[in-house]
Amino acid sequence: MSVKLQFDRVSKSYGKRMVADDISLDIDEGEFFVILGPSGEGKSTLLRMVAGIETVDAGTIRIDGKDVTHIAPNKRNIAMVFQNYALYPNMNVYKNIAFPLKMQYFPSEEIEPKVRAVAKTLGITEILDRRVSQISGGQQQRVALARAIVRNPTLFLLDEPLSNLDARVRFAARAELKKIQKDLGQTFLFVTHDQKEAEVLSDRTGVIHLGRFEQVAPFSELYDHPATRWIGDFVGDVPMNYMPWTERGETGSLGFRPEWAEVSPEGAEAATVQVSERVGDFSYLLCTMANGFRIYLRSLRTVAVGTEVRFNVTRHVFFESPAEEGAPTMPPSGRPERLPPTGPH
Amino acid sequence: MTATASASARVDLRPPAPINRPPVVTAGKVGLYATIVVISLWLLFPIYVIFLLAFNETKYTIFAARPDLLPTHLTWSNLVSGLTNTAVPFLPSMYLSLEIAFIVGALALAIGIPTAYGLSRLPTSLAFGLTTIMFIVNMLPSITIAIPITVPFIKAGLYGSPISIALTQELLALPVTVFLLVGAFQGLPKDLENQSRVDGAGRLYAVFGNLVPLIIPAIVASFLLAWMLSWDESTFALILYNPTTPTLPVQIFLTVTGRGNPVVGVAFSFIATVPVIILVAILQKYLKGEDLAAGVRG
Amino acid sequence: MAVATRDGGPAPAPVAGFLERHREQIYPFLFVIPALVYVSYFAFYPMISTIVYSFQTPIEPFTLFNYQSNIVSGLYGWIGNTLWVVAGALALQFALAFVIASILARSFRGKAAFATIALLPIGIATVVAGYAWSQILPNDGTGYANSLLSIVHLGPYFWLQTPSGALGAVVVADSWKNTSLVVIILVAGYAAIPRTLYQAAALDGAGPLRQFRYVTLPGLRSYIVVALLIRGAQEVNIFQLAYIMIGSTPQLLTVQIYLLYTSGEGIYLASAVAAVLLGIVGIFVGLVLALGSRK
Repeated sequence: MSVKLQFDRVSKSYGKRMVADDISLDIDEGEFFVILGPSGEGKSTLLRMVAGIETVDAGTIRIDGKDVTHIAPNKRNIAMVFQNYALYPNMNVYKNIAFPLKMQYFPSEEIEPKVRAVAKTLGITEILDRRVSQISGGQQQRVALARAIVRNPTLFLLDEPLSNLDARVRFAARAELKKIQKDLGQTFLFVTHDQKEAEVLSDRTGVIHLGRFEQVAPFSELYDHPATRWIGDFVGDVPMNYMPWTERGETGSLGFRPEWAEVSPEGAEAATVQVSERVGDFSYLLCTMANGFRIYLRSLRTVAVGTEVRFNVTRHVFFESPAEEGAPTMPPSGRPERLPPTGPH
Repeated sequence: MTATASASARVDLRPPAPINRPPVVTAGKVGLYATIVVISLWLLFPIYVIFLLAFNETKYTIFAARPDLLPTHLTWSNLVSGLTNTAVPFLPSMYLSLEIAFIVGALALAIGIPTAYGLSRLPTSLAFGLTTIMFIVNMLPSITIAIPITVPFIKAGLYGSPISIALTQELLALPVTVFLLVGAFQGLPKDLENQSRVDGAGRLYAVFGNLVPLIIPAIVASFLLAWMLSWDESTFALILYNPTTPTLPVQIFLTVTGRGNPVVGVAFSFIATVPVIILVAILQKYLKGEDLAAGVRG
Repeated sequence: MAVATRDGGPAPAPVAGFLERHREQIYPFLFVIPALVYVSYFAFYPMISTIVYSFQTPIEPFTLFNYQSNIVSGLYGWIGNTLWVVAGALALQFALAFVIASILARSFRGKAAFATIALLPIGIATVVAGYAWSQILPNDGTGYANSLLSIVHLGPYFWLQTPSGALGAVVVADSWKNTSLVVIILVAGYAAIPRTLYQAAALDGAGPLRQFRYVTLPGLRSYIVVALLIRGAQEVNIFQLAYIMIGSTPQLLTVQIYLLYTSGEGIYLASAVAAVLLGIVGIFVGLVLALGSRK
């Protein structure tokens, strides 16, 4: 598989704030790559640099091996879907979709079948004559996607295209987006702060923090083998638990997720339940251990506050940085809202 | 203190007056409408006077010891004699005023649209500095600019030409146009231009093909506003006029400050006023303080 | 000379590199250049020329003669008269504009019509307004104001007989013409004040006057500054209206500039007065900005 898009030591800063700090990354042909990170970490800036609407301070961006760092956006043959869809309000749906073709001087008799074909694929044939202000958010998203697809680009940039949809529509749109990408077989570069989207959509996910990729891997690996404690905390419903640990003579910390600990009366470790919160089929228990460390556990049964529970850690990852008392740490900003509240109710 | 008061007094938030004491409300309303009537009379009276001067016989207006307050002796003769006066030809002046006003309006768009786009895209600090410059231009006394600018115009052989008057009047029109259009550009969705560029449009097409059509109402308003400022302008036009044909306002100025037939001033004043009264009514919703205020508040 | 990069290839020249990195900021600046060129040549260059001319005569490259000559002719008096008109007109306009804007901030039947009426004077050309007012407040005991007063058996009045009467007439006429602009700006300001502030103030026991003092004025502060800047600067510039109504008694700076320029004394004497006028505008703007930015 050949490399479609390449960041080669790319840097970008706004004043003193580094949004891209010497980033190198290869994205393969046909890959669905998700850039995941909290808000305000410069995810969109990366996308905009690929599109050419944001300049690069240093380094090179290559598409199909060709240096495009200083190429104008309209010469890059890429499609982009913006967060607010940026539909042209003075054009109807048909004209919006036809616009990129018109810019490439396609004759109108060639434009029409292309527009109709893509509209059919996305199920928006009936609204082609409508004004964009007259259609729903979900339809707007489809129109934006149709406009991106219509001229057969080989690289798609999508900037949080699902975040403006309400939860119900978003679920369906997410699945559909994945299918479209598979059918097209083209490279998608997708930015989001929602780890669920990364999990469902991505072939690989790059987690960005302070202008660098903390880890680039399939999502399951981010979850199972976080490269840093920051990722351990950021990925997952609740932050990872940490305990001081020595492994092969190295002192550091042991990290485990709540579901990697088995709560049972025969467990080797003990902790006292401080807060218990039911989430679906199980309860998250925020517990304090005798050594002062705070951890999350997961139990199928409801456990009363103040009870002592015993557990075994069945899986763990090892970090070289030491664990601090009082962990889990506060969640990083921009963390998904599914984190159960830790305070008393 | 405010918070406590509003929290504890939630029940009392309803205005007490309407149900319990209707007479108080009525008195308030009467006061309001009385004020409105008095202010309206004050604002309309001079315009009414312009109408009387134009249509009442002159012996009941400018030549009367007690000018008649009612349109009792209506006549067309003021307008007819004023507009057909051979010493002060009306039509050439009106054509000139029209011509200059259209040039000012067109220039206001030609310079103003790009400027407003640029200001709406520049970093805030730089845009603020440039907006301040436009604001200062708006505050410079016309007469201090009009006199020295005659020198290069004379050298260039443009003194007295319509273009020379338009170029100076543009100083009044351009800042207003720019403030109005910057607001319009800023009101557009941020990524529209980027989308257009990614979709394959060049930079100029993205601005003029995609953005500009979206602010056409503001553009029309700017043009009319610039047109109106020029139509009414008389300081630059007075310093730079060509003696054979001054603009309408300059004709009025020269006539009423002691040269020529006062009926000419009467007729010209009325004719000059009609289009702008209509324009003000049309432009009402674009004459907004936000745009002006944004200039200095940053 | 080319500097080697990491890859060993030639780096772009530093200037080109800077331009490239800031391409997205520089590009919009290109759009502003025509306006900058235009105002530099047609506004700032003449402004500086005025100051230069004010220190010159046809034979001398630098002299204070123009200023000295104007002082002898009564420059200080012209300044005083101009300031009198500026202060009076600003006070009257703002008082009227506050009343009109506070009415337009409410909703009532006929609001649209009243809003249109409040804006109409903007469209009346200054010379036309001056002429209409010269027919309302003439000096010879006639005029429409005297017609009105005769209904209640008052007058006739000779409005322009004293200097303060004449300047007062100019103040009244000018305020009629220009209150609308202040109204436009204040209405925007009123719209920006949250209604809840008034409710909170009312609950705290503030009457209409104290609501004006503690809610309206602070909320309108920046709008008042803008209106003061625009109107104050234009007020100093008052010319045709005054000249049509009162001629040159008493004399204003602008009228004197016009007369010096047209009387064949040339642009040098006129420029000295014009430079004084510029100075007054500058001082006024500085004062308003200093007071307006004070917390």
